[in-house]
Amino acid sequence: MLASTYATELQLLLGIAVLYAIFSALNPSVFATQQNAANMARIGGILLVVAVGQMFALVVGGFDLSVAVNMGFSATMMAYFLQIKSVPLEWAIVIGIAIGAGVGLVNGFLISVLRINPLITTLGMATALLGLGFYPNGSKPFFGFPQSFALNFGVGNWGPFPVTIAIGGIVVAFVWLFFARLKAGLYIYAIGGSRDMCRHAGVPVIRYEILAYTLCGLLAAVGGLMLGARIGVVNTDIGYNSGYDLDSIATAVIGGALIGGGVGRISGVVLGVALLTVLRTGLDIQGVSDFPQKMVTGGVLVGAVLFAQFRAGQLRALPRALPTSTAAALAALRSLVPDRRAT
Amino acid sequence: MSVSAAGSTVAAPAAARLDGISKSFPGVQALDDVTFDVYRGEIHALLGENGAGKSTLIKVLDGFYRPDAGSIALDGVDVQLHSVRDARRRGITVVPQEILAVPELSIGRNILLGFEGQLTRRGGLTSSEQKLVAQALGRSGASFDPRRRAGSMSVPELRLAQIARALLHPGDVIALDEPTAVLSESDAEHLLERLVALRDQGKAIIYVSHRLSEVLRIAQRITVLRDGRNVGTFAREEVDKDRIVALMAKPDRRVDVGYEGEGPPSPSGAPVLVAEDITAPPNLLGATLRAAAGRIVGIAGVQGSGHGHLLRAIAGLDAYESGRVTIAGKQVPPGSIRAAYQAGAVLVPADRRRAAIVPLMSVRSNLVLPVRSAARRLGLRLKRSERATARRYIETFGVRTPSTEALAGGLSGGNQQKVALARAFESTPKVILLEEPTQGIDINAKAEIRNLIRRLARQEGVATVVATSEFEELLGLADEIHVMCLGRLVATMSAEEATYARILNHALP
Repeated sequence: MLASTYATELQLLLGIAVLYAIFSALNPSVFATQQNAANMARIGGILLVVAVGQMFALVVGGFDLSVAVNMGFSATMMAYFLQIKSVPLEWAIVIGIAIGAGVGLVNGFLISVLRINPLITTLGMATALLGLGFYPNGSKPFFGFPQSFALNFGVGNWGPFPVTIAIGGIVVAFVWLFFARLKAGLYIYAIGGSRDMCRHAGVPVIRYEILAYTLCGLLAAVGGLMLGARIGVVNTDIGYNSGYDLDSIATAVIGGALIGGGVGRISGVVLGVALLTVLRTGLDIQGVSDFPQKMVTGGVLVGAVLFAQFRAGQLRALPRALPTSTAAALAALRSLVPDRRAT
Repeated sequence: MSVSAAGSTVAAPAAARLDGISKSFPGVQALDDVTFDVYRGEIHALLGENGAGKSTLIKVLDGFYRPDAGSIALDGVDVQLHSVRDARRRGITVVPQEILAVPELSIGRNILLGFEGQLTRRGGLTSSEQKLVAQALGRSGASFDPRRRAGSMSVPELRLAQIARALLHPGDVIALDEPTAVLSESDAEHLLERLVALRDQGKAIIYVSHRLSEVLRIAQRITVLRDGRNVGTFAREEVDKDRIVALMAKPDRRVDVGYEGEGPPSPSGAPVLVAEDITAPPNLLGATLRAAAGRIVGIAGVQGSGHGHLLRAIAGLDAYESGRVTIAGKQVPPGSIRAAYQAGAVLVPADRRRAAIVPLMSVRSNLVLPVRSAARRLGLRLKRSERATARRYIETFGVRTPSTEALAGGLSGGNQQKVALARAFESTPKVILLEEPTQGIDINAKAEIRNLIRRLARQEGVATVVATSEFEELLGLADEIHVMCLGRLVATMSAEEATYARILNHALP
């Protein structure tokens, strides 16, 4: 029962263990160190917060492509209020997070009330924010933040834990409670599963859809502040340039969330983030450059979804189609690869 | 207010009154000045052909549609229903025609959806919730485990759960839209008893159904809609079945009684379709079927008997473990739609809007969809020959559509079914497999479809298999009738021997 319910998580754990073992064997002196583990936790913590936010949008039946720009935009607004308006740090942080949540709220309103497709809405929002983010400080980035900001959100430690993974852990705990014990959590899942059923059941569908996108925006802003604190420089495109939009969707989907809604567990998101972080860090340490890394990440995303569908028995037609198409694909590959024995 | 409670003989106002309701959708006047009311302690039946406006009226009462004109009064007080949620709060309970469920949640969670407190779980039910759900399911006559995932349940089970949901905290006004359409006879019977009991408790019940015999048994009043207008509200005693049928039918439309063509070819002709010992547990446990050219073979079965599964196995949609399907002498491998189609077997599935037509394409495009369509040359679409093909089918199949270019999804159910049938014939089939061909369409269209099936089978010499849970549809249509029960063919009878009672007798497990 447990094994079948958590099959995705078990497979991810196995995948992480295998990757960890391989990279440790290849490069024991760098990969298999406590310092590297801490480093991975530091990187992964930010993605974890954003991916957990993305999970709200995915589960309710949409997705949010604007999270990455929202990260940079919220951090920019925080920096603007801190440095140009001289607002105290705590209040600047609150304002930044509120603005991120506001972006999510607008997304939710456009998607749920005006019924604009989530792809168009969030893509449009991302583009608009990239433009809007220019105004607070022109094209100059913000930097020179107080040290307490960097320590508390990006580079410091809370006890034995790197601060980003600690914040990630707290977010995961809260969101787990939200989904496991609150009516709102149940309704967000139910709306993603069948919006019509929820309407007929008298569930205030629009309210909970907007809530899901708002929480997604809020967590994107938290992730943006963490990223800004970690790198010490804030600009509208810091999250966008690091690919947090697709990474957050990819990790949630690798973790078993379904595009289309209604399915997804926070444990899967946590492990999806872990898998992607181990894979990226391992490849970095191996000296694999950015381009092959991107190819591997894309392959893992599509492969994970294919594997999940295969397990769910949705691909029963595959075995029959496979022999001919595989043979053709292999033949095509062989013709591309020069024969090594000949040289 | 001048009337004192004691000794008053003034009748209480209607529990719900819809007054002069009009509602139009692009191109269609769905409701035109309809007035309808229901009192406490009565069952008021709402009848009409498909597209007459019954479901639209229910959805107006449900707060799902805002009417263009007209007013709604509950207990004599005018109200505005802003949403379904609003209607629920005001004590209106509706079981919609659609089967709705959140597939990932347990059936228990689905039943309780909308009734939770602020703190709740997504997974297992608490013991008090479990008790509540078991009670609700018991009341609707269902006996399955509420912990099962909704996504793993059959359509009739989901329907029972939906009814259980509605009866968990029923409001004073209860409307049910075609609740028994997918239920077995015994479950339907149980529901009717429940409704009579609720009526006697003083609930106001609106009941929409195609099954006239049910309606005549339980209703106190009957309203007939036609083309979005109320053509009459009657007390039960005033009308009988024939009168209702006459009211529902459009006056200018003649109902053919039967196809006056040649009789069935002799059953001794070599069968075009042979399905032997098809086994795919738990739905099919060794079913065998033969059909000769030009003959119509009926498969009768209640929900869950496997009659639909047998058709889908023959058509290659579902794989099977053992058994053999031979079409025109050629053995077809299991689970290959392509192989079955190439051998000449074409299925018209029951799920009309999702699988039998493409609703957002024109009638013309729907008709020339088949791979083997003769309207294309070298794979190129020729608009003129497509139009000619479409016009030919529209005429011979009697499809009522504004033009060849009208969207198929905008036609009534009966006309959609004709388009689906016509498309199947555009594939020049040897065997045609019809799954619930007359489900959810009105009486006149049913008769038309039956005649069409008969005529095509005879004239084109196509072996025709009709699987249905509406047994009366097979009487007078099929040349021989097989009855399925729990995955097996349990009885076979000729057209002359078959009676409704005899089929039912074998079909019930």
